[in-house]
Amino acid sequence: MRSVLECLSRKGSGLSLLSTQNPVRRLSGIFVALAISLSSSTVLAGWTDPLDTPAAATEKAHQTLLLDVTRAGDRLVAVGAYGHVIYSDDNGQSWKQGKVPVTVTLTAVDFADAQYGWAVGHDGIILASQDGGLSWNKQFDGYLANEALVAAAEKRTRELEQQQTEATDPQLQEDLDYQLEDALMALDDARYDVEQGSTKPFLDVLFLSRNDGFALGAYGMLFRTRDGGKSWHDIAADLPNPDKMHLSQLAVLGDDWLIVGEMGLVIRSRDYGQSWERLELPYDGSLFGAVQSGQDWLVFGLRGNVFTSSDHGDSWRQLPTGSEQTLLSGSVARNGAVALVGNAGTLVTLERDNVSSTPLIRIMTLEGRSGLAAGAAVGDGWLVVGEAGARAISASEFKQSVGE
Amino acid sequence: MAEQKHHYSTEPEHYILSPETEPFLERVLFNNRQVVVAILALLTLVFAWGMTQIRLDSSIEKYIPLQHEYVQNYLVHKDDLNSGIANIKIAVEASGGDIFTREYMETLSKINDEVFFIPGVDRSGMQSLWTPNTRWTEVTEEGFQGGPVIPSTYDGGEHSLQQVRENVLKSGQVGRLVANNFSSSIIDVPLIERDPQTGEKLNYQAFSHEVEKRVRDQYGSDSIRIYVTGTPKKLGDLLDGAVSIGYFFLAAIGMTAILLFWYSRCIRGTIVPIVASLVAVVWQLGALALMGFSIDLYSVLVPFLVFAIGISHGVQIINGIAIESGKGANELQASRHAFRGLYVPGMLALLSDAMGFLTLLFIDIGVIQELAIAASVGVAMIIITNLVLLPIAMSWLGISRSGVVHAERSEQSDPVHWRVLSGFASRKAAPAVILLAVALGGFGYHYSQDLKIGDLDKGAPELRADSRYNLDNDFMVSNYSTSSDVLVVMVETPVEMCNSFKAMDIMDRFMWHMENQPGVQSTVSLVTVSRLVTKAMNEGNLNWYALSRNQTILNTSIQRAPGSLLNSNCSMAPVVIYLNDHKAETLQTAVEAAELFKSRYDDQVDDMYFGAKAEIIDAAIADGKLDSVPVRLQLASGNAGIEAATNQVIEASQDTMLIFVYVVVFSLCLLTFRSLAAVACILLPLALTSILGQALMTALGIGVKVATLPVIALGVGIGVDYGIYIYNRLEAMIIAGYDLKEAYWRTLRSTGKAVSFTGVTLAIGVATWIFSPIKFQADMGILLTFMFLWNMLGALVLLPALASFLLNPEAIRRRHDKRHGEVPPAA
Repeated sequence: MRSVLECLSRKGSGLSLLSTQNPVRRLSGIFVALAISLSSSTVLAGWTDPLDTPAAATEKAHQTLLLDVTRAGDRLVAVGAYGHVIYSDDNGQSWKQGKVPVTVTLTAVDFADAQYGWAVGHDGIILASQDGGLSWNKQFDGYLANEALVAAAEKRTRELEQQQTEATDPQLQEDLDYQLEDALMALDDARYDVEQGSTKPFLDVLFLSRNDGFALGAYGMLFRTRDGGKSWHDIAADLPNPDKMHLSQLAVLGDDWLIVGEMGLVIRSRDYGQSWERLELPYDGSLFGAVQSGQDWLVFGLRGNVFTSSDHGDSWRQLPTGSEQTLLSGSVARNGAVALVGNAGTLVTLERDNVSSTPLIRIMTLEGRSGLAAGAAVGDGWLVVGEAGARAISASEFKQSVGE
Repeated sequence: MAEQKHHYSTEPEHYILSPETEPFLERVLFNNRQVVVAILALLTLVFAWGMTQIRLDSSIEKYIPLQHEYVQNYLVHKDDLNSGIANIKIAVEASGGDIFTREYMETLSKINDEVFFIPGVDRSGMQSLWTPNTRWTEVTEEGFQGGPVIPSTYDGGEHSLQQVRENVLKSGQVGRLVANNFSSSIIDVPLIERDPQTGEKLNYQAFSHEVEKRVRDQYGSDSIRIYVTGTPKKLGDLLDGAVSIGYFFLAAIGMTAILLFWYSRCIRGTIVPIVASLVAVVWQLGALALMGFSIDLYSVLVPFLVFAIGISHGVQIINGIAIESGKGANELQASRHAFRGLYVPGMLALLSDAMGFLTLLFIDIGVIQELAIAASVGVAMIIITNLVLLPIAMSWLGISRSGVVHAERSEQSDPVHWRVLSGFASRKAAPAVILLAVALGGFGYHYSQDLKIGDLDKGAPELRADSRYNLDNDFMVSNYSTSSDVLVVMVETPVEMCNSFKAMDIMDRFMWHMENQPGVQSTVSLVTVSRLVTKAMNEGNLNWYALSRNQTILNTSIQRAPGSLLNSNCSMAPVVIYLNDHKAETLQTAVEAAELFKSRYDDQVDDMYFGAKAEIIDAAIADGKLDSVPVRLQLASGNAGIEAATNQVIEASQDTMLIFVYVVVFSLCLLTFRSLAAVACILLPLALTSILGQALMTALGIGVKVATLPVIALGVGIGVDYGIYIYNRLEAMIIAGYDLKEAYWRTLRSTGKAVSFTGVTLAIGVATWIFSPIKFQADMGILLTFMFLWNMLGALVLLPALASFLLNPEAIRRRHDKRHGEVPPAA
């Protein structure tokens, strides 16, 4: 293909001498025609499942919906709509597009190191990269997830049925009856999803190492891999989440792990996932993220609600932010400053000095008020991504907009 | 010599049927003058009655190429897509301030109430800050919470205004109902196109006047500015413009009358051609009405042409009569001689006009075809009114003494300009003229290479860039996040399947594909709504801003989608693509991109599956006849889609039409003059004008479009008249034995003035259009004025120069002698 193009372009320079009108356009017309004839022979005609359709090359990925941004070494990698994965080696000044085998919306990305990274998203997709985000391959998708969920539900019902036949205590039997009923309903749901081909989105991904990672998301989905994503196991049943609340984020806060989710859900593990316990918050609105700032934990979510804990989540108190906008994601700069971003272009920063116990809170609303989904510290400022793509906010711009 | 000259200059050298028929025709007409006039008067009465039946037609369909695939596709879904076309937007601006003041809100409320009561307004659909359907919502821990943007507790106080400001931000209406800079807000007014009680169609013109009177005039001030846009308003303005064309017609008549009197110095010689030409106009309009045609914004111009052409031919006759009278002939003899001498070139010229117009039938756009018919009918009418009625009328009335004297004097006079012009008929000056013509042709050709197809200006192309409507439109475009240039692609599926995941995913990908094209601003479809609602249902979490695979979620997400984004049985969903402008390149890029996507994604299955019932599809999938729900994209609707189709039709037909019109005039000239050299002398100046016309269009930034395409045919068809008249007389003079230069000088003395008069009258007729508020009429006016004047110049200057090289006077005389011998034909 390349040699054909080169040959044509050489020929093209000759052509342009002959043509009277706009040689560039004429030449590009030839290329387009060629590209069509080549692609139509290689690309299947008609619609293919987004899970089987490679993301189209575009110059505008950094200007459309992006849902997460992270660091792969010094590189910034962001993911978003239409299977877009873009990376920047100059802190967001310019972006290149990675090669992705799917066109589904990607919601989260995480790198274990500069090379090994994973991205997750709608339709239960899990993608992996071993070259710092340049190319990606498919590890898992919603169909596999559905099968895994059916298998897990089947296993659960079998276990419950077994227990029920063994149980003698009427109280226990009644309990098991309820549980079995729930399990059968879950199995029905899972089978329905398989039948309908409807899939659930992952909302977050976290890798502790090149091998050990989690993908979590809607309806309490939680999968874990210990082999770098070659196999994924449904471990949702480990969580105290009987109502299958959406899981928004899994955060590593010091030695503890914290999962936050729908309707005030906060789940903590202090033993690297051996056991999980539900924490109580004075709030039952949805939470979308958790970060650690110094020794304090912060969780945040709907309508600008931020709660902080200084005792690893045993007790929480509200931090009044002054913003009523839902906060979706948080990131921490090297100096400990926290940026929370969310709807209507809201950027809330929390900075702590050593004297006072409450942080200094400042709010910036980005022009255009389009929603923000994630941010990353870049130099003294921030890089935020969201509905309108990626945007860098320098420290001076931020100061100016908050009136300093 | 005088005898001979008299003989040769009035006897027809050429004939249309046979040498015997023409004198017969003359005898029949002039021997039964009373009967002929009685019949013509009767016909005039009939047509005058017909003219009262004529109606102004504001239907849009005539302006678009109905046979084009895009338009056919659009027509299939016309009723589904109609919603949204019939609405107007009224922007109310607080100039120099923002909208959050007590005074502004009060005024807006009053205007809102005023509009509410204008007949034709769909009151339930109206939306503004003051209507209860403008709400804000937000997600709270308990679910959705919301209310009207202007709360029921509003009292105009500082606190209330602050509340309104916050609610506006929450409502997501910034850029839609409220300007991006908060200095204006919109009242969105859907219209009911048919009165539910009377079933009568809404009169856009009356509605538009009502809005002007009750809103702009009443509330517009230095502190409050009003802007109104929307198709109904545009149509109203256009119809207003069409009415003003009537005044232009009166102006054209007035100017022509003055010119005519200056030319003939005879009241009768002024009034009769005008009356005869007006009779032609009455006949033309009456005949069209009787044939069932209506007047539109193009054919409203035809009376100008008919009038001007009628005058230009009438003038030749009057001129002829005056000259004959000067020679002592009585009224009847003078008229008969003038008729005898002029009806052949007159008829030939008029026939070539009509044939030239008929070539416009090749363009598959209703208005152009009706223009072709109207103009051809009009020209056919002129043959009778100005070549028959006029000389017969003059055979009674005669030319006044002053007119005869004036004609004699001008024939005897030897003005310098004719001497100078006749110099071009010599081989000394001719090479310079021809070289200049070639240079101009080359220059024009080079320049016209940049000629663009389509409309090149922003705003509504029908109206001027600085018209009230386009200024208002500019305001809307620059202050709100909307574009007035919209391409709509219709996504077709079986019934109840427009919201299937496959269809929605194709739409989603298509939208992104289009958003990647240069010139595309944004896109909107059912997918936009589905994504937004899915996000909202998930607590406004951006992570859910995507299409769901779950059909139940998909169904829920579009439950409250606006009706304009899917049809009633969910077998079609439009994808709306907002473009930067409607320049031909922008349209072409967008349409090509859409076609490329379509070629990749369309399911190549039988037509019957689209719009078919779900059972049929399920059965076909079960039988293996279908793989999945069939989906296809159909181009195109929206103003940009229709305009893209129009551009394609115009691009395809402009060369065909040009070739046809030249073939027609070529054939007619060849048939009459039986000499290729003669044809070259007549047609080459025309060709130069055509080329320069295109260069002029490029220079003025006028594209080839529905309005300018007919100009080429009209320019050539009418422009050929000059050449025909001049050549006809020139040849007669050559046969009379003069050398070329002398022959041309004599030609100029007798017909040169009439020809230049013709050029000026025609130019006056069309030049008044330049002042039309309707842009395409103005464009046509500019180009036709140029073509009529330049064609005249070409005939007067280039024709003799060419003749000096191409014509062989000896050969012409020999041929004449061979055919007629020494004896003049048909005494």
